[in-house]
Amino acid sequence: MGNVMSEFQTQIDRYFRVKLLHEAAQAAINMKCSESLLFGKMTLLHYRMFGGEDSGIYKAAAAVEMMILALDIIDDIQDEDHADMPWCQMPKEIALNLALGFLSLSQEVLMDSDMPDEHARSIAALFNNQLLAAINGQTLDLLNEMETEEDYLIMVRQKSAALLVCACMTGVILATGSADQRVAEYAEEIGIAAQIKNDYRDLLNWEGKNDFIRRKRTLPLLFLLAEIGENDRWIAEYFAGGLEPEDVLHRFAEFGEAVERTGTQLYTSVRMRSHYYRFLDVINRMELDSKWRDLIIEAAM
Amino acid sequence: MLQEIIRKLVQEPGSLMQLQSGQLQLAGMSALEERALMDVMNSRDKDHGQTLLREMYWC
Repeated sequence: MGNVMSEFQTQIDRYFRVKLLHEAAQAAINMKCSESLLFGKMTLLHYRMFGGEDSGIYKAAAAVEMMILALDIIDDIQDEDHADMPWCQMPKEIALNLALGFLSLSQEVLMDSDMPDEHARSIAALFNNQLLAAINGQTLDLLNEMETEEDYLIMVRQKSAALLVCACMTGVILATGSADQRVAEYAEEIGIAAQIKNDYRDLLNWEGKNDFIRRKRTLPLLFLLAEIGENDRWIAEYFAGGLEPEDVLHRFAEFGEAVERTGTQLYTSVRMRSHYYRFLDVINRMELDSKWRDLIIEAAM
Repeated sequence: MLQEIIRKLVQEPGSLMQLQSGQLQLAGMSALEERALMDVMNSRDKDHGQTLLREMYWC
């Protein structure tokens, strides 16, 4: 992924001219370097898997990662978490400008690439569509009004899965000139499975952001609330706003027991794995070079 | 339906044996869900005794 990061560097050196903004961008991409860059990796893998051979793909992968970085910054500002991230340690107004800068830069990098005009237009349209889907999903998440699992899945498909679909499909379109709905289908399944996994982690993570304490309507919490017995009524009471965080923060062990007793862990695991198996089912039915297919499966894990 | 099966599994001690011997009715579940349920239950058996914060049964 070194080529993708050097593309990042070139672009911020070129466009972020104000010293403070450049420093903020530099801190953000340094942080990016230490992460997996899953989205850009998916763009590259799909491009190669569908026969693409041009080195111009690195610009497209960088554009995808810039968009993801912009959305990560905005998400952290909205959720007020991940205090260790560099953009959370700068004034909000600067962090917002940084996010806007990366979002615009992702489009600029696409338009400035050597790809055929027709492909560039298709990718720009894809970016805009998936970004708008993600913004709608993020708004549903912020409103936190999900009543059912169906509501939750509608939100996750837009908020999380749409971006993974964007990353994968960018590679496919650049390699072949057209979208492949099977890729959209399995990328969505990976995105949903990954979100369920994150939501389970944030259910039991009592140290950092905890979805129960924040009263987030996630799949595991919706299940837990539907299954708790009389002895665990305090969980529902807190969730409904009848108790304060200080009333429940010391009850982590009890909360964990309720999660286990109600089968929340079991249920969440099965739901997550079902989506993962749907992804495998779709990708295994495609006639793909097994080397690339295995790399996609490995990246998705 | 998955929710009902899970409820049965956690509330009725004998239901796990029924599931493993194929005697538990899995009405309303897709083949993929059935496979996921069986795999997760098998993983749980192997992981027995670990803490609640153990890794999820990812794949």
